[in-house]
Amino acid sequence: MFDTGVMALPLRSQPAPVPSGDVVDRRALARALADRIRPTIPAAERRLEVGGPLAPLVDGGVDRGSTVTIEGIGATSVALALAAALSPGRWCVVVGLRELAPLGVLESGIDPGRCAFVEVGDGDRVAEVIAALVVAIDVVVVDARLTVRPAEVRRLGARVRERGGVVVVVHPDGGHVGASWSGDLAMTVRAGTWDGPGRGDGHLRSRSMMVDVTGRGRAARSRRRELSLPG
Amino acid sequence: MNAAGDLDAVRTLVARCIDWPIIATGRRPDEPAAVLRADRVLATSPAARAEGVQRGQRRRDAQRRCPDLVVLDPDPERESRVFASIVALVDRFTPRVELSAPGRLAFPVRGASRLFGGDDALARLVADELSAALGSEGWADAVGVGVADGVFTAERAASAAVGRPDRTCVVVSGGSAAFLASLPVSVLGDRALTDVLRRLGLVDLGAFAALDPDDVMGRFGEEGRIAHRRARGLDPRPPQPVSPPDTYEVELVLDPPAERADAVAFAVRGLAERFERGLADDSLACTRISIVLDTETGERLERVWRNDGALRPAEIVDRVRWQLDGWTSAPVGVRPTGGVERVVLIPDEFGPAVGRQEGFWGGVVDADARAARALTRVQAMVGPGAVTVPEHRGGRGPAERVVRVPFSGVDRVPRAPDAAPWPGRVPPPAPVLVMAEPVEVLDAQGASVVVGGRGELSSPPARLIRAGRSVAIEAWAGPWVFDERWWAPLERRRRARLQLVLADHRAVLVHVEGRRWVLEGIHD
Repeated sequence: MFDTGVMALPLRSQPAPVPSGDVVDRRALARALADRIRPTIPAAERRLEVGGPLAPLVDGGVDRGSTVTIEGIGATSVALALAAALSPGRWCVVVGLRELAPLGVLESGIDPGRCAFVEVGDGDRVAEVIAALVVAIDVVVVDARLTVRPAEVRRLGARVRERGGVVVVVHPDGGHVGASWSGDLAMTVRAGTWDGPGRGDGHLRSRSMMVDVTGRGRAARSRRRELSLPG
Repeated sequence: MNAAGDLDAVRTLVARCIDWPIIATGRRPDEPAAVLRADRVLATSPAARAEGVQRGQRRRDAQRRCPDLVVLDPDPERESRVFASIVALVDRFTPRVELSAPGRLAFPVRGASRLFGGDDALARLVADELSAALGSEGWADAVGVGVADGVFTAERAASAAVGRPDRTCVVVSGGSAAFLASLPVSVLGDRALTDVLRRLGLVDLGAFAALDPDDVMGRFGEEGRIAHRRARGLDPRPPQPVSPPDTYEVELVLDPPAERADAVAFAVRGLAERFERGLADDSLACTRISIVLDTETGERLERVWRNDGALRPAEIVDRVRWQLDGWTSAPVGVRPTGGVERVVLIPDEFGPAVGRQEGFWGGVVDADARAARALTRVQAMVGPGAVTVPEHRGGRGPAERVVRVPFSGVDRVPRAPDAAPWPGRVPPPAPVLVMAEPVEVLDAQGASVVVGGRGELSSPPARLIRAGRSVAIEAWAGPWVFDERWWAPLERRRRARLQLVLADHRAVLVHVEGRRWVLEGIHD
């Protein structure tokens, strides 16, 4: 009567006939129905646009569900600038980075009304905290010094891809992001020069730095870009 | 009457039970009884008063006038305990009852009045409630309920209400001064002051109130000013609400104790519904709840949960589950060792039960509500103090101007950055990392750089020593000198800040205080 084999196929284009027969593979049916009701994110929504000085670094945007790692001297400022560029009108939560100055965070342009900090102790389940955040928070900035097991990172990555936030992993003050954090996009900040102070006169105004970007998949090719930031 | 004064007179209801020390002992009004302390009459029953026993009399005089007088010792503890049961009757009108002395309660009427049909109706309801409760012992006439602007006037109104047929006295808004004018100055309660006023010929509050406030302040000082404000119907202080009474608290005992969070959550569903019903009956909703979990092995975890609106039963159940989840996965030592035996839900903050409250940071936006839920969830995992949000404060240092405040305790109105100039503030950008790490700033000769009294450097800084590593300084800016709290010698801080650009491409902010250099921030 019914060819139940068809039920296992993802039926995005043509609606699946809802089987009414008595011989039905229940699991296949469940899969088919799950596929039909799964919310689809419109293409425009799948990419978070990035404007301003960071646009050339990320080709104008970051796909939802990706992880970006940032290291090198100046990494924190780049991470905050990226978070701010990704999150106008969106939420941004910082996990770890105890020494992060709230004033510096706000000066970077992050919306103070949609921003929160989560401190996690060594024993806390970092991966679980991040997993609980990515379901609702569009931009999650994570301290690379927090220890997570590679298996947890993989699971987390799957969850991020499914839920659609962007995770920015950053190592402050010149350290390297450990191998357990793998990014879809890896940034390394090189040689920065400061503009402003002289010998007692002026004050810090802006800096320019070189940023190396390597990626996976669509963004696979490596490139080096110059970035200029206030502060 | 000045405008500013009018603002602080909070419309207040005061209910009095006169002769409370006698009522609390269980005597009836027709028994001649008196409470005496230190040989003086403190309180009398109506029967004793009819015989001529008065407050302040000596025991000997009182007993001469009324030979069968029952003499009682004061028992404040009993008076409060018995009064608490009376206060419970008023709880249904408001959760914000202020108790200052047994026999007297007060609450701001604003919400309650609207709910019960106006000041007059509310006063009558409260009076009926109290006199019905006391009537069984014959004390119905001891009750008086007054409503007026401010506690003092309301108290006078309550006294005036005692003995009236409806036992209430409502002074119209703005009518306090007129109401008080004919009362004797002795009601101010300040013996020394009222003696002087009488000698000056000011026998009633009206005459006292007519004096110029500045003259009163000049002649009688702060106490005179407070008394004068009272006489004019302006209260020096609004009533202080006590924490909500425990009548809305609900509890559930689990037998057998439950180990798993979902089992507890299932059992708690009915409890949460009962909790909400109890509040809804009084047109209240709970916006902050305290959840207490007790285990069979005697551990307890109590947490306060706040919501951006009334907590619905399902949301309460969620919070119980999150709290238990967080607890059972805590490190050994903190983690409970037995199943949950008892769950108590205590309302911690009320809101009106109409619709939803003010949104999260203004306006209920879907994404905001989702984010708030996620953060609440994370808070259960890492502890309430570990989730914070930024808040603007005044100050000079990068760590002072914006601080982290606990997420659970945030005031939903974001505070605007202060526009006031703080002399000595380093211009933006601010360092993104802050710390307080001892360092050394040396000149080319290897001597520590010193900042002089007028902010001049002893020599140009050349090297920064941080954690034993020496880095060359390529450029610097500053110093920004500031002298903070110079008026308080112990808290006085005199510091100078420098921005340094180092050879390793770092830019840092350092300060010196008492010749000690501290790394304060890194522009990472």
